Amino acid sequence: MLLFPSQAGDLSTGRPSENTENKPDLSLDRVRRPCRVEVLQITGGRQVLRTLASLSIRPGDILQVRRAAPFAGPILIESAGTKVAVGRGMAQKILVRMLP
Amino acid sequence: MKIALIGQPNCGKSTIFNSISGYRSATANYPGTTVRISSSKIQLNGALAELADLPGVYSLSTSNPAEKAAENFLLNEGVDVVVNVMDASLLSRSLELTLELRELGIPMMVCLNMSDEAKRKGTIISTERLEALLNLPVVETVASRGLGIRELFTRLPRETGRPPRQSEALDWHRNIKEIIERMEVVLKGHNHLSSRFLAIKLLEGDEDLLETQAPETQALARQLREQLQVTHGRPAESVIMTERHDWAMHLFEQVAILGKPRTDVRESVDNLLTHPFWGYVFLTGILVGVFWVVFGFGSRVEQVFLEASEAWSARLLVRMVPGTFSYALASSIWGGVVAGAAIVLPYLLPFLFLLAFLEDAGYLPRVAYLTDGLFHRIGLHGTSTLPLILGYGCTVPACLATRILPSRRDRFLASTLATLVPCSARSTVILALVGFYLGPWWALGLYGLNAFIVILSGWLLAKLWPEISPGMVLEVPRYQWPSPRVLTRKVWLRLGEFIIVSWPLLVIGSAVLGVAGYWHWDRVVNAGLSPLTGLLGLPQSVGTTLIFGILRKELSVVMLMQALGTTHITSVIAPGQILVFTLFVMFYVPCLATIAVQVKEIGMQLTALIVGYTLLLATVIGLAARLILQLISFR
Repeated sequence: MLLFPSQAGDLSTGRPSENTENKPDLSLDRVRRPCRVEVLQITGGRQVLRTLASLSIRPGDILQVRRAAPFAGPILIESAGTKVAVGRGMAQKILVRMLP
Repeated sequence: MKIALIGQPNCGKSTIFNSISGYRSATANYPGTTVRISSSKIQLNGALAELADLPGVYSLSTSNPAEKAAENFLLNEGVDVVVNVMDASLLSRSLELTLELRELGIPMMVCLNMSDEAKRKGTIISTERLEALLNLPVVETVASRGLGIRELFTRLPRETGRPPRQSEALDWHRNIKEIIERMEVVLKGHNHLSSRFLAIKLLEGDEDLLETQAPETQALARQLREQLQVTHGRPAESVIMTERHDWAMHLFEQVAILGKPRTDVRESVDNLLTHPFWGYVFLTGILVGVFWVVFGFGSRVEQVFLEASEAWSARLLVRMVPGTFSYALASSIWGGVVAGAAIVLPYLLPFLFLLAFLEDAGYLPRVAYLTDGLFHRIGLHGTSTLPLILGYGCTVPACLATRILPSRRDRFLASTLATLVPCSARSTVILALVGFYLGPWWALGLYGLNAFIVILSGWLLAKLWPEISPGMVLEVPRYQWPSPRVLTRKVWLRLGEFIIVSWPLLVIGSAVLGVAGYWHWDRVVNAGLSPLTGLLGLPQSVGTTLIFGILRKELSVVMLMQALGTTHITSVIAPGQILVFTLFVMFYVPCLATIAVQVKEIGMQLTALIVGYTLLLATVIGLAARLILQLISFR
């Protein structure tokens, strides 16, 4: 459910996208190895945004991806000292950019 | 005076609560341990006060019933002082809630808990600076070791009647402030809540609060939200959230010095326990290990106790004449006493201890992480594993724990599955009957079969009630070495439940059955249930035990011995019958306490559905087992 379907893009930081051509944005569920990513945008309802924000996952935040569980399991990330298991469905809603 | 402990999940509110009021509120190392509000009367500087332990909330915009309960308590129960507990090692995140709570205008204190963890992470926090910037009293504590608790509660009475003062460091951005003030004007004096708090909530789009307002106020809120969106280029709640987040970050930078974290062995442990391969190896190992310890301890003690009880009963009942009423009564009462000591306690005690250990160490969220993928396939999400694992302890808290799930459908599914998981009472049936008479491998096999049925049921129910699950987002806390003191108290709390409630019921139930047997009343019940027992190929006299089993699950095994008139069960019924009986008991109808909780949590209709489903499932499985055993001519 999108609460603001027409402004989904506005939920991002509002900064111009620093997306470079060779590093396309991807959703968090597609990151399957340890690395650092920056959250660009979260598509989802108010509640989803809230839940993620309260665990320090919001546009602009840097996440450390720890590992992904097998069997299409959750992604284990660390943000601001908190480890969070993000289920696959939720991870699909989080658009990220890989950081070097 | 009413004091509320509030904070983000797993920050130690219940630990603080317990250190003041004795061990009354269960604690564990996973977010969402407390789903009910517990309160206690305490003495504070000679005056009586009420201390309430609220479920953890990440923010004051809630998504699940447990958080809702906490929010409602805070808003509507006339709280005099708020104690905002926070995990010091997660300071910047925790401060966001503090900033939100401030707006409530209720006198407030900040409790910087787990400050030892923060130091271990290399974060040095200046309490004085934080106090000055927030303009709120701040006390540092390590609740698990009782440090700082005294200071917290001595300073507390001084804070009553002093709402949080304005802080220069914390002021909204000018144009947001203007909008908040315009909203505030129409709200002044119309509500028991602080108008500032209400104004911000309405601008954030809180539906529940919006509904309670007059149409003009609602219209104004909508208009101002739009205005914020136009000027800031994103939705109003996002504007407010970001502002709060920026403050929290700013505060954090001002009060904390980041040093080098100490190398933490827990990281390596966690890497192993969440490993894509070894994680599952350890998970299986831990579960099987728990089984062997519980069975190994329990069966040895059961043997010793049963032998001792025979010698005792011979001495006790020697003067009585078998066949008389007094003999029937005395021997059945004695039977109940023995059953509790010899059959239930030996298995219950080690089991509760190990479960408490895993809970406090923080292993359960890892299990949720590892199993989410599997659960997702059957249409549930990994957060549901928490209630399921708790179900091995007792079904009642397991059903309550479903409150951390946001959707009603997920709560129903998790409650149903938690009912199918053998609770500690049913585990005593499995271990004391099947394990004891047929061997531990049979018992282990039953647990395996049970897990399979649980997964199958989950898959089936999810197919019947499809809904796209919002997916798991679960905080995975640090490991903690469980404190022996807390472990003992926790086991004692749960054991007390058995000793105070179940054991007397065992004795009473046993006596009732003994007396009924003397006058042959049980025949009526047994005859009534004979279609079922006949279908399962069980002796007719087993019928009454199944009725007692609905009262308390432990009763089914005790009553079995009472009904058959011996503790040497194998002399009366065949191993195959023991297996069928145990299978049936494992699945059929939840106990009364569970039914009561479910009616409250998910409603009458869904509970009736669970009762019907479990009865059907138990009968089908029992019958299938009987037929298969006959086919392979197992005796």
